[in-house]
Amino acid sequence: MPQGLSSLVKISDVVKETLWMAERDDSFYKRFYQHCINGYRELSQFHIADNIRTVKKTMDTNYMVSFPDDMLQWLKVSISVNGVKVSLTHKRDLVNTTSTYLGATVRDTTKGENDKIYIGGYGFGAGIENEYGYFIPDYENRRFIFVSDQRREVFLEYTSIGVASDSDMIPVICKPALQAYAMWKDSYFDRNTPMNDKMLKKQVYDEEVDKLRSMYTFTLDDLRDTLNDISTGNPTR
Amino acid sequence: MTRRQWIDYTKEFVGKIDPTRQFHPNMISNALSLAYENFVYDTYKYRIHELDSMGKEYDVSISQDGTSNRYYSNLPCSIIEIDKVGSGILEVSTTTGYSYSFVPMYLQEIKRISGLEVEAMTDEIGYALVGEKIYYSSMTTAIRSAGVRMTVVQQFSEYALDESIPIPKSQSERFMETVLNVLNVVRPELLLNNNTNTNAPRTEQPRQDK
Repeated sequence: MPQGLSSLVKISDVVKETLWMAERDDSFYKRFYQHCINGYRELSQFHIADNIRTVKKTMDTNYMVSFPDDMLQWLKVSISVNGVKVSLTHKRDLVNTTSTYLGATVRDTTKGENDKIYIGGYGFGAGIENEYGYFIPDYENRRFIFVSDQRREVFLEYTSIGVASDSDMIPVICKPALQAYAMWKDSYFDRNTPMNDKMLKKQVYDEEVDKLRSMYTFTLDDLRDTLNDISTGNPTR
Repeated sequence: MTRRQWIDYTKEFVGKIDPTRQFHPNMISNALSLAYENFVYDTYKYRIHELDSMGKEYDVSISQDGTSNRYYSNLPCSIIEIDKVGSGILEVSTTTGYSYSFVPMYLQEIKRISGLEVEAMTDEIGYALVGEKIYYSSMTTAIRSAGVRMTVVQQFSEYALDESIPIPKSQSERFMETVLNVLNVVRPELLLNNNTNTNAPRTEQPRQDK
């Protein structure tokens, strides 16, 4: 199928089309390409749901998992229980350091690393226990640290950086917003563009984003499923 | 029309107005060069769709600078400088087609995008015109050995005498006007000999009374 008749397009095709429409020569190609990389990242981070990725990771011997290279922000960490993803609990006060033993990274329980968590009971530390485990993201070292006795395979859902190579395809419905973003940013960084022109382009971008967001709102089916999910059946009178 | 025809035609044209034949052939040739530059520039500014037809293709080899390791080509001819990035280079492509695109850039831009995401994600090769050389960014081994095809707008004087000058037919008269403006042949009338018009052709000039 020729490009342009698919529901997915390449960033480079969006850039070429934008330059063509705006009657800009090829010298703007790389600059507009960078605008489009940044624009798609913004769209995927804040406005669309196409860019949520799920990967299956296996904990290492220290019960740790490295962040994926393309991860911007994690959304959910879960394990499989009877075919359903069950979230682990993000425990913010979990000890997140590691030690070194014979040149290797270890979690030393004598120093409180990977120690058994006391939850339940009464008094200090009392709370609702997640029997499937806990985790804490270690942003400095770009890794998750787990305390779990259940499974070593975890599902990680996250938003990615957007596109990582030109062969990555993006939804064609993002194209108008992406083009508006590129045109807006091009004028935004141009010292000679009048303020009203910059504001007009920003407005066009905002309108395109509004249209895009409307594509990701609840459908009636979604609403019905959600209502069914949270309500219990009543006897019909 | 060929370059020779343009020179001869201009000489004839000017001859009717300039009975003294004061314009040296080199001067006419230079005037044509200058007028052609103006004409190309006007085409770029106001009739850009006609600019492609004024280009000429060259196959150019690529070398590597021994000191800086940068890849470059020498300009295949003297080009007309145009007010755009890449100047008178209209296009650079591979010798086999458009599998790789080349995009004109400033030298500063090539330095600035080094290490940025756009450099890692795009295959397009940037080129920057520096004096008589064209420097490339992200050059590949295959393209380097095959060389590139370059379309340029070259100076009038770079055309061989029997080579056609790519001026659109409908624009020939406009071009001639530009040449005449450069030569500035419309001179003030010499009011000699009882206001006789001395700009008339030589054969028709009245005899001078002694």
